[in-house]
Amino acid sequence: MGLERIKGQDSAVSLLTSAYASGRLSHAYLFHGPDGVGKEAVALEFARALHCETDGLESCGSCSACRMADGLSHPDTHLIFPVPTTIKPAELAELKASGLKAGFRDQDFGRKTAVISVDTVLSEVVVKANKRPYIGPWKVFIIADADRMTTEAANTLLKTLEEPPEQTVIVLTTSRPTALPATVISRCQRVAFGRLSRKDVEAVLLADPRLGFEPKEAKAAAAMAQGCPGVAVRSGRAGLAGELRSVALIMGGSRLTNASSLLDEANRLAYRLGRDEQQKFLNLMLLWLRDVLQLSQLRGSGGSSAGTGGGNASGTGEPEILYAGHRAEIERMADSMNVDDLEQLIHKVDDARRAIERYSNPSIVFTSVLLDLAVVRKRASTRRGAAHGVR
Amino acid sequence: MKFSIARGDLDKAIQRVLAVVSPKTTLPVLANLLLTADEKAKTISLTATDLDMTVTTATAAEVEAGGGITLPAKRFAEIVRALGDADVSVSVDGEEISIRSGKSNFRIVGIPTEEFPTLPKSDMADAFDVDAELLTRMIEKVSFCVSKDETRPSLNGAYWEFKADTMSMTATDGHRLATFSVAGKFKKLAGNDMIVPPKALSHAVRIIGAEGGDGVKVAAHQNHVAFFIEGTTINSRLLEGPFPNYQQVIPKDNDKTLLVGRDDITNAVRRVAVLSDTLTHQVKLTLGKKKLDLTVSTPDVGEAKEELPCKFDSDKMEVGYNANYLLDVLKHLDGDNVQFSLGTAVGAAVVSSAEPAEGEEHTCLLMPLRLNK
Repeated sequence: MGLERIKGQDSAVSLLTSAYASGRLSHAYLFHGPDGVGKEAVALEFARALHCETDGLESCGSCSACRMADGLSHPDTHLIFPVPTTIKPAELAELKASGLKAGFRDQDFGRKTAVISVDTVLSEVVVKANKRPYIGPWKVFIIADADRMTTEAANTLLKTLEEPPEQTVIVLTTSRPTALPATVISRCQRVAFGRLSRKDVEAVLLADPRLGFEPKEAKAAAAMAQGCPGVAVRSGRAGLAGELRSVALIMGGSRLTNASSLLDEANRLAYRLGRDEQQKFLNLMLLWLRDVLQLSQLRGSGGSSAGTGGGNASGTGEPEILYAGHRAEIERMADSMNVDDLEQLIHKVDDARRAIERYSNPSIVFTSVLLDLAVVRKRASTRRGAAHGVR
Repeated sequence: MKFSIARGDLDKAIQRVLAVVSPKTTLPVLANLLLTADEKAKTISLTATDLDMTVTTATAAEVEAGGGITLPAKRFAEIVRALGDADVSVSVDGEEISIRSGKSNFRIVGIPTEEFPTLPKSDMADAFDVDAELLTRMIEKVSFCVSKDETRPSLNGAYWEFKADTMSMTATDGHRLATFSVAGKFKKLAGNDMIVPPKALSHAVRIIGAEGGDGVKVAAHQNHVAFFIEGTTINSRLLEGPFPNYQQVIPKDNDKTLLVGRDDITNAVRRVAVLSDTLTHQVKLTLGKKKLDLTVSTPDVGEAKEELPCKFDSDKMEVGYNANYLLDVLKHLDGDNVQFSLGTAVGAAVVSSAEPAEGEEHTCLLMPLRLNK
């Protein structure tokens, strides 16, 4: 038990353990890497191992410190995460309590922007860091999604971040290190987190019985997660299937029959989904296009024939199709579109993804990307019609 | 667990710990009291914590069966307060607590004791004795200066230090400072310096006031301090230091001395301050050999002036103070006369009693306001 149960982040884990062993633990760490690769998980395990009554950076799982850590109620571990600014103080306490219980990332803040405010940093980090530990000897502060700190909050943190009291460790986690002020970054030791291998993701998904993944589903989910088990965990078993279906409905074209349905769909994506979900949706669109591209390349190089159900094609040449359940639609698209079409679409979706990341107006972004999709589809189908006519 | 107890005793015990329970908390169990019963000692104990401060109090009861449970603090307190005069009997079955008194019957649901945060261990054997009355006085004489500014956390507590022959407590918020020291033999305690949060100090004063008792035991640890007052233990986390070197800011070369009656100046300041600026609360002191003028002049509000007798050993000078800070200092000094020792109009004034008690030293420092010419 302990840090070694973290899968696929060996370099990060060994950096922490060797720093601890040599007595050179930094007072501030910046865990950075893609969303859902286990930055917070490592931070929490790290805190648990520091607090555990056994020597060294291990946790026994049975001492009272470990049991409190499991319930996220250890008085010397302080977990700070972004919450919506519009929330009332009374709701906030409740939200935090339930967020801590349920896994704070699962909180549904909808479309509200969640931030870490200057008041939060002051009362939860600065003041608490300057109190001696409750049990001791360590105090650990985990500031999740630290890039959501407001400028004032980040500035308030600087002094404490630079020289916290003894035996205090502050861990910041972020998937967007560039969004953090340089003054914060320069005060932390950076620890890079990479994506996991597909096998590790699969193992993570199967390891937790609460998630309820069947081995086959876990394989598919791991493929979609792109090395970030947290992404698959958050959408869960049922959620993932639903997301794939809704992407398939749009990419397959059955939702984009005319202008008004296209606008409806764009509005739905823009106003019903939160920003994170929008990002994810665009990622899934890219994965769909990747599948199409792979199939069409295969055909171009004279691999398996254009017939349906080409899943039995032989050997190493067969690409892995992530949208295995929607193979027929993908094949249809691969048949009608050429590489230029696909390239254009991939660029469009990628641009859209970046636009959303930079807080562009989602309604405009989605209308534009769906319009592009419709135009390319139309062009492909008329070209195909013309080609048939000639023949 | 099962016990019965006089309602008054239980109510008193609850009131000793209730103030620690915070209404809004991220940990549901912190809204509860830990209630344990000891069959052998025939006592029950109540514990409340907000993770900064933990208060435990024990009281005698007819214990039939030992055990422990945590139960909602506010509800339990309300029930006990509202009960009639009959004895209260409490019994626990699993997580359900039933409270009976006369013909009243209550059942409430608790949380198992395992979820209550483990308390820092505190050993009475390491504790030292302090005179209760002295401790109370020391706390009251300095804690009004404790800073509330969260950006300088080490000032958010009172600095309690021990030297071979003195024990002292100091607090400051950067505008004023109060330090109180008392002579005695504290050699064994030297090095136990600590910054104690004001909440723990004021709770200790409250418990001392309510319990009487003349001896208080204090145990200083690395991370926390414990006060043992009769059957009640207050355990508080300490603040991280270092506390600024306050000796450095106490001016040593103030050569002018003003002597004035404490009541005279207190009442006069209170009167003229009515018209002072709501932001700066500035009151101007014009010092003459035998006459002290207090003036307040606020544009758009008005002017106030008062004159009182004094003794001043230098040439005429003018100095401004925040009236509230000045009143705070005057209120906490002893004796009939106060002594201001001054240097320049922009340097700190050292204010102390003109008739200090033997073996004690209570000094306040007050930063002046810059007067507009």
